[in-house]
Amino acid sequence: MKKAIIFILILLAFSACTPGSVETEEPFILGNGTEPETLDIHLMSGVPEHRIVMGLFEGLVTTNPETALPVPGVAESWTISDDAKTYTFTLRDDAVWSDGVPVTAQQFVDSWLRILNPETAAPYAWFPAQLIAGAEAYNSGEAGPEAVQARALDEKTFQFETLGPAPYVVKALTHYSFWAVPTHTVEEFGSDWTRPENIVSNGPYTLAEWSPQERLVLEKSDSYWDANKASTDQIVFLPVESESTMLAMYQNDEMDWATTVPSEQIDELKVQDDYHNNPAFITYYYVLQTEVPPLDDPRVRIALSKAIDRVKLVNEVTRGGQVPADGLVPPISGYGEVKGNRLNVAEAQELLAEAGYPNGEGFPELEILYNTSEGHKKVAEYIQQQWLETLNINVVLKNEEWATYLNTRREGTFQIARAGWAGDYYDPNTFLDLFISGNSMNGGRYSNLEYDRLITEALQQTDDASRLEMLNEAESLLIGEDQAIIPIYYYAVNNLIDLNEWSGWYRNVMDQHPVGHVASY
Amino acid sequence: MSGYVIRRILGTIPTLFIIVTICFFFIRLAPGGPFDREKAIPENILRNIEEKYNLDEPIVVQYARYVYSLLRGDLGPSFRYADRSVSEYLFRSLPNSMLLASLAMGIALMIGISSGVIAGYKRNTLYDYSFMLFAVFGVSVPSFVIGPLFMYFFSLQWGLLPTSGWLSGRAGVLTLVLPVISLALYYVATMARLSRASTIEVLQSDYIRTANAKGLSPSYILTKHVLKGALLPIASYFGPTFAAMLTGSVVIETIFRVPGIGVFFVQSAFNRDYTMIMGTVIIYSTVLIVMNLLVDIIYGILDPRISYS
Repeated sequence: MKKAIIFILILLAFSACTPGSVETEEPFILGNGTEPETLDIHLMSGVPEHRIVMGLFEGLVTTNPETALPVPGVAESWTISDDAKTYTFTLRDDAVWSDGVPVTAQQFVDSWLRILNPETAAPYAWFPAQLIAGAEAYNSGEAGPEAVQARALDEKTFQFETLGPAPYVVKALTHYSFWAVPTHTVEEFGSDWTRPENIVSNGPYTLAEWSPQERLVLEKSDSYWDANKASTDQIVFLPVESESTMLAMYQNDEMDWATTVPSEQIDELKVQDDYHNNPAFITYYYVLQTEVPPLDDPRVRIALSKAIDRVKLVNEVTRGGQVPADGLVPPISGYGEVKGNRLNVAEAQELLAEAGYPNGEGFPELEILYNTSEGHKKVAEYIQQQWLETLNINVVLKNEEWATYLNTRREGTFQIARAGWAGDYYDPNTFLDLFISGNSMNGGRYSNLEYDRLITEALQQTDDASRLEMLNEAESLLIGEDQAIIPIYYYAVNNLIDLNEWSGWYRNVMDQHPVGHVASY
Repeated sequence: MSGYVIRRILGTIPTLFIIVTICFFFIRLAPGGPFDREKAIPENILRNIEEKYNLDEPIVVQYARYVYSLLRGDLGPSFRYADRSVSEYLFRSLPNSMLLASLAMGIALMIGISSGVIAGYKRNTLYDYSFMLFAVFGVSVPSFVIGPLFMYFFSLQWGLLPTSGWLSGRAGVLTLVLPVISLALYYVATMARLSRASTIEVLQSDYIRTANAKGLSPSYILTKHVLKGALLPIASYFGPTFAAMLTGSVVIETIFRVPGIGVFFVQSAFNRDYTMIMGTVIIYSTVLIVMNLLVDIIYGILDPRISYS
């Protein structure tokens, strides 16, 4: 014991020697999950990266922290043509990169061509490709860059044409795949343009430090057009992979915002007013392999859905504020409800009997596939038990490690597979276009020509109400009649942040919190 | 002796080459690829990405390309981390893991050997029983339990130490304490058990009986004869253990946010980050080979029956 005390004393003496930094203001420190894979907005695809670049860069429009809806960013205004296909944006005069170079319309054109260039190999290239006229052709190598319908009318006027009058275009522009990169430094430094010594940015912050696996520090930019807005001087992103470490750091005042919470601790944290839980724009569902018996029979699929007590599942098994899901699309205002096949044991049993399996007799054994995780296992066990009790059918569980599981799902060599989908933009289309025949996410091989027609034609509607109605009709086909997938619940997101200390942070369904708005009181 | 060492070092080159070759082809047998995400990337974009990383070429060509760049000291680009190369990540994180493993090994050697030898020497005393009880605890409680437990008590309850981090902030070197002790605990216990067993064995050997019969003092026998003999099994255990500490401390590294190499060793396999897997395997193999060489040299010093000349 004596030795231990001496040891600690020596360490204390050492630590006293480390120089304490003199700060005028405490930085805002957040736990950011995994180590960011890249800061190149054209190469990224993850959530931790997204949190960082929301502080570093800004698109034509940016995200309102309270509503997650688009508000003017680099563009101060825009007009939309009568056929809702031509968008013209006017860039603000004082939008500049942190090296003083103005942000120009031509840079937006070049940036879009960069993300769409097949050689860039951008994982999110599909997003502009699906909206912008000519973009798909360039990205797939069928046409040259001149095919892309985006142009600079003058230094500060940017114009582009969309494939159809999709009303979510402006919302989509908040996504980083539509932002501009500093083409002048990208040209100069090549793939090294994101290094701290080279990077310039046009958002509220600049990059001060990036020590992989340790920290990434952003500092307030003087050249940002809205630099007078209240925000902290410094933001520190810590890569923290362990949820329990994140919680300990938060509780020990080493962190101001914990972006996730260990699910087993939620019950204890619930009572605290710095704990924030809200439904997310993410759905947990089971994909069914619709081509292989017995799941090729819609009656069987509906019976399976009607035999699940989702309310009990979220209250007793997952217990993290999840919401039982009726449909695939999480609740969106203005978009009608979809009548999914909710719990109804009698009807489930009847349907199964109609399909030729009264009381589950002669029903082959089914297999539920999930990626290895305690949480998914618990859900699968719960459903396994319910199907046995209500329908008298046997289900076995199978887990696969992540990459193997993704491969199985893509190849469709499963019967029932767990899946999750987070909407890329706040519109039902981000969920519904997954199940168009032949889509690479449609591993269950669902194919209904009427569904395909509704989704494709909805894109061409100028009237938003009728567009949403068509999408709703399509979802009713997918879930209500065909039951190609079984929605289980909508995810909930959990955050820990003391809002008496920090302003500018709001709960929202997209769980997007632009760090440039966060300031201490 | 130096001739032997040079021969051994030259011998590692074909060994490494075989490891690289086997590993290169084996990791590609695993289903899935480096660009699989929950949001499946559309076919044409996946094609573009694979083209960029030369994954569309025949595997033999890819192998030749890899070996060629390896010979020039280039571990290639990571398939996961676009902004930096594999070498940059690995050579940045390796020293941190080295420091963590060395400190933990130092503690394990000091406390493990001394307490084990004493326990063996004072066999069947209260000291022996209590220390071996602790050793059983150290061996059987996994680090993912010990780590958070230490963090809970030392940081949250008593406020003595920072929860995590690595030589950063005002806490400085204090951040080393918890990860080093958590990692060392298991090895303190195993080394204590090993050295206790070998001490008992040595104490029963003929040359100790002879030394006793000659009338040498017990302390002389303990330090000059018993200790040397008892260290032999530790020496052979030391090499692979150090390598295991280096890459196997991923749990400790994750819990205490140590910017080490362990996380790459594990995550690259899950991510199918082929070049990163190769990089970590090469580093791990090199460390293992070097450690085994060191062990053999130490053996030569400890055991008079072994000679390399």
